[in-house]
Amino acid sequence: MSKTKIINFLVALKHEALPIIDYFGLNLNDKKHRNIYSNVEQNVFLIISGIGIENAKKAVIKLKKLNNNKDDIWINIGIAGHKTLKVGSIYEVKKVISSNNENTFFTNSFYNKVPTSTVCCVNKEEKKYNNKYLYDMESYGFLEALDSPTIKENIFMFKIVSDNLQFKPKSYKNFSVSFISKHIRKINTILDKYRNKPPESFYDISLILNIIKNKYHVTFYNKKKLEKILTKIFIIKSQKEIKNDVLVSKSLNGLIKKYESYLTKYILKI
Amino acid sequence: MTKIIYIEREIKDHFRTKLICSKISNPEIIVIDRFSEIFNKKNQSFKLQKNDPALIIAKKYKNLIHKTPENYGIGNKYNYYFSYMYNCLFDCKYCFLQGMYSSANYVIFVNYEDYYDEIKKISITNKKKNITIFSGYDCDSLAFEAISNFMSCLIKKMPEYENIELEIRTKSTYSKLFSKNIIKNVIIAYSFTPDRFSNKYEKGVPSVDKRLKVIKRLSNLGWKLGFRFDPVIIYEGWQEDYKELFIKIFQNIDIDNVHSITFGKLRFPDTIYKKLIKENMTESLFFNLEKKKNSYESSNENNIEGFLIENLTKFIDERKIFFNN
Repeated sequence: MSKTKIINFLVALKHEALPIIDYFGLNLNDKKHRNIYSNVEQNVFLIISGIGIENAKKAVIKLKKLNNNKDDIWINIGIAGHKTLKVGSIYEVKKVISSNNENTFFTNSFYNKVPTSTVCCVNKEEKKYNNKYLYDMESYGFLEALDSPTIKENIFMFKIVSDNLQFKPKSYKNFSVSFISKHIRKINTILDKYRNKPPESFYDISLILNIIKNKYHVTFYNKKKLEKILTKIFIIKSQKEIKNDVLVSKSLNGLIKKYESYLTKYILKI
Repeated sequence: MTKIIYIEREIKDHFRTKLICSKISNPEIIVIDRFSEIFNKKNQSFKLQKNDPALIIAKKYKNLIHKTPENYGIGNKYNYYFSYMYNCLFDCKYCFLQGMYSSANYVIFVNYEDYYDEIKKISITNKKKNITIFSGYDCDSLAFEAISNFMSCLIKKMPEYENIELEIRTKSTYSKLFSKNIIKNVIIAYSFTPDRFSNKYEKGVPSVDKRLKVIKRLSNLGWKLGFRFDPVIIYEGWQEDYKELFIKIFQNIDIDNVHSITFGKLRFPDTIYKKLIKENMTESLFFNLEKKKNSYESSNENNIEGFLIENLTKFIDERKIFFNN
């Protein structure tokens, strides 16, 4: 069982994806998913959504069909415009609004030593920038699709300022490759902080459950009950002791009752 | 210290918002409409947020002060509580807040005057009644005081409200606000568990010795003190540790300044327990809690009540001791 969470990247365009594909050693997932890249060993996935809110939303839904764990990390990286901010500078987005003020979405609330910003997500290229916002075209769809099942603390968004009133890059393609490459190491360092799963998620109770299943008929109800009990028992007994308890037990009910009573009588050790 | 600050639009120019922000170096400010947009939402993890909580500055409009449950008190018949903040700077593994909220970010309500007015109202409308008002339910009363300044302002007003006792409950050692001019109707109440337990399960809480140093100073000045052993935690060797803790505390202070002692079992209402256990499945602190009618609590087998009464009355008059359950 993997000790790290899956990372799912969403970018709008191929040239925004290239530095990430390169950095994480991602490969085209399979012929069925022409816009999904992955490095399965490292638990890293990337989807290229195409431009726009709806495309971003569809892309999240598509990638969720591959990875739909509650504790997956989701991250949107892309370029954005601003009235005055320095071109090439990176911002972590904490809040996203849409240009028609439909709803507001938030990402994680952690401080990652990167300046933060709010994004205004638009449907078409914005000509009049409001100084308060970065402007992009995908963030709203990305967060809308993640709104209910994903824990906010696992949602990240980074935008690199690509243009302001003084400057527009000659080639957005070259700009994206160059500046995302420049910042990807930093982004990865940030994500690393959040990738470790809590220790309880990798107690391997399945082995013990299988031993129990080989010995007794286990109903769905009892399986759920055993999962809960064994997760706790694993904290206070070794696997060897638990195996032995199963071997010497005379009935499943007896085993469950023994462990329930063991937990009730348990005295905390410091 | 927190760096990310969410501020409600309505109070972004409030003098207190500015004051709080000025005490945090280079804050990252995000303007929001209401704190409920980001606080205590379903898809949040208290445990993950607790690693790096952000600050939310907000305004509270209603329900500023509540009545306490009927069996809760330190001598007076009429009891209220309030929280000018949600969530705590400390990280106590048994804290019920992790089962109450899905968010560990700190919320601070800057309209202090509305709280002070409510206290004044309670005092005026209940002139002939003796009332206790508790602070420190949804937060530690003093842990954020260096930044918030809430209690410093409140205690100055307390001499006006003679029928009200204010309990300031804390595990913090912050005590700048308690000067030589003692205020008779303010009780500074310190929560304790034994050192050995506290070191492991109360992250960020000052050591027992550090707290005792402050308590000794306050006792010498003549402030009324409260001691809260709530919850009493059962673990291997708990009785010896608690005996030692009582000696450490009560042999070091002027007993006459002890206003009250309260204690209680480790206990959680059903709904809070279920939420808490979801994120703390493997926390052995909760393994032996027994299911009661509407709660989960420590077993009666350990006779916490008998043990505490027996050992506390060696130092303190039994009339000052209250069992809250």
